Amino acid sequence: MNNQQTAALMHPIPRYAIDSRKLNLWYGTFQALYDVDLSIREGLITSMIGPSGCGKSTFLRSVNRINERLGYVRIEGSVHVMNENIYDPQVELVQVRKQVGMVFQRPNPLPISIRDNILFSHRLHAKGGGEVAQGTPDEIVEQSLRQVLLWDKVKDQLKRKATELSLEEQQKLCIARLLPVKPKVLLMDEPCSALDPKGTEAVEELLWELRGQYTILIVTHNMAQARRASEECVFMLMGKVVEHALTEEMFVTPKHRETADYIEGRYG
Amino acid sequence: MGTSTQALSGRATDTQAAADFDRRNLDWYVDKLIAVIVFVCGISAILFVLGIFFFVTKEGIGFVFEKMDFREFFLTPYWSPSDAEDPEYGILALMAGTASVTGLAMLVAVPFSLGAAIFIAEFASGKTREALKVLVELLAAIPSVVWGFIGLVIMNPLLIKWFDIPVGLCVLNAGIILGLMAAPIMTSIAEDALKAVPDRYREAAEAMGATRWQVIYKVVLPAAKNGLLGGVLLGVGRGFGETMAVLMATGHAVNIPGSIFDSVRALTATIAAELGEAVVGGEHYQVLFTIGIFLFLVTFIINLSADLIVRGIRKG
Repeated sequence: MNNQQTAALMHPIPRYAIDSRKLNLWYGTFQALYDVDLSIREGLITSMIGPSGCGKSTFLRSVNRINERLGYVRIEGSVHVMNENIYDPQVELVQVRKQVGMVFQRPNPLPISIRDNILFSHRLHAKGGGEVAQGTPDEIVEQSLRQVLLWDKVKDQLKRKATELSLEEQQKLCIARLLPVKPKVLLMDEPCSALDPKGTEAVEELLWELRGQYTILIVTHNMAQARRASEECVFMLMGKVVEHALTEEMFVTPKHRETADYIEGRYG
Repeated sequence: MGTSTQALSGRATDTQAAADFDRRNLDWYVDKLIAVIVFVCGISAILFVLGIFFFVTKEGIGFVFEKMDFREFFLTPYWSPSDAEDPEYGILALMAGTASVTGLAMLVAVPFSLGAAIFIAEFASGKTREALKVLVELLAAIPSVVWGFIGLVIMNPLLIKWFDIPVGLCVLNAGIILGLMAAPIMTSIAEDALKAVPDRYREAAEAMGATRWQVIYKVVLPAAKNGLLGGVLLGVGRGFGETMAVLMATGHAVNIPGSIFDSVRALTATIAAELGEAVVGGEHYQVLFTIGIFLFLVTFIINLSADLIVRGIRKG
């Protein structure tokens, strides 16, 4: 261990996994993001809250550039992921999406077996260079499913169609299938909104398990969830970042009037 | 409406205030009438199919029970129904003709229509897509005699020139023509099947870094495979039943083809060409209807299995 590392351990300088600068985004003529500057700390769970249409999902979706599927999206500014601008023209979309995994609002496992779901992205990226999980396919499947606390439930039915699982299990599977390609960032777009309270609890528990290994950015409508399950919190309103603070600070002593009003449920 | 209604209305007049619950206005009758009409229309499709089947069977069944030798009918290639002394009714060569033309047509149509469907459903957008869909439907509406004409007048000399063969009316000619005829409907069905794959599957795969082709190849095609197979089977059914274009493009010679440059004759074309000259009720006439029964059964089975396969996806 050299001095620099020692120093870093003693006085941790925050490192940012996601760093956006002056990010503006338009859907056609509608501007959804205004000059968003956000620095998301590496290894933490950061939640994004705000009323519907405030741009939180849009921001999330522009971190692995899945927004661009829509075709009519225009983006200005930059987003650095692990110190590289993912909007640089040189950047390969496939590599961005390997590094930045995404979990959607509605669980969307592919209509193939559980096992094939887990191996899907591994197969895509295994030959493309870059770091992926090593080991036989069986080991990778077991490891990933163990990490999302699903192994014991499905180990005897790996050939089963993934779409037949319960929603909670599907959502866990959707998280598990990202892990074999060793992403740095996991984006979650209201991952619990289709789940019942028990499923929600189970997924939140899982987030804490994954904490530290991955930088997790989670969009939620559920204030209580943001409070329980995140370390930092971002409040957005009308396409702008209003406040970004430690979660406990934001919920106890919000610095802005809008934040306070939203947290207390005066609008939403 | 029996006594209870009367009792009710009786009470209503007594009190002068209760609602008139059993009153029927014009809308009620219109509704009933439409329901009956729609029911009759729905049932009539079944009646027509049964009626046609009954008619075809009635005309052909006499031969099947009285004179038909199943082995001769299905297993010999000799077809000379107008021979006065010893007419022969072997449809093996006709079946080989139909099968070879349909088979070649599928070789032409499957890659074509699958490619077209993938382009329309997955790549084209906005106006391009709409224009292509209209064009494909237009293509499906071209009358078969026009296709036959193309085979006779355009393909025939081309094939003679390209392959240096004496006659250009052959399996290849008819196969290409039939393939082009079947492609539009197969494209439409395949496109529907691809569109039916939920977009979140594509989104999921893309978010994991799959390229567009990987999304299609690894996610969309497997998810749509039943619909695609159903489309192919419907194309086969179309090829099997097609008459006019095949009559014009095959050369209409009774022959088990040895190569794609041989002329053949199809089951359907035989009926079309010979029914006019056969004596009504005579043996030849009955044999042609027997072929009709056979065609009916085969296309029925093909279409039914196509339907069952397509239905399969909706459940899974």
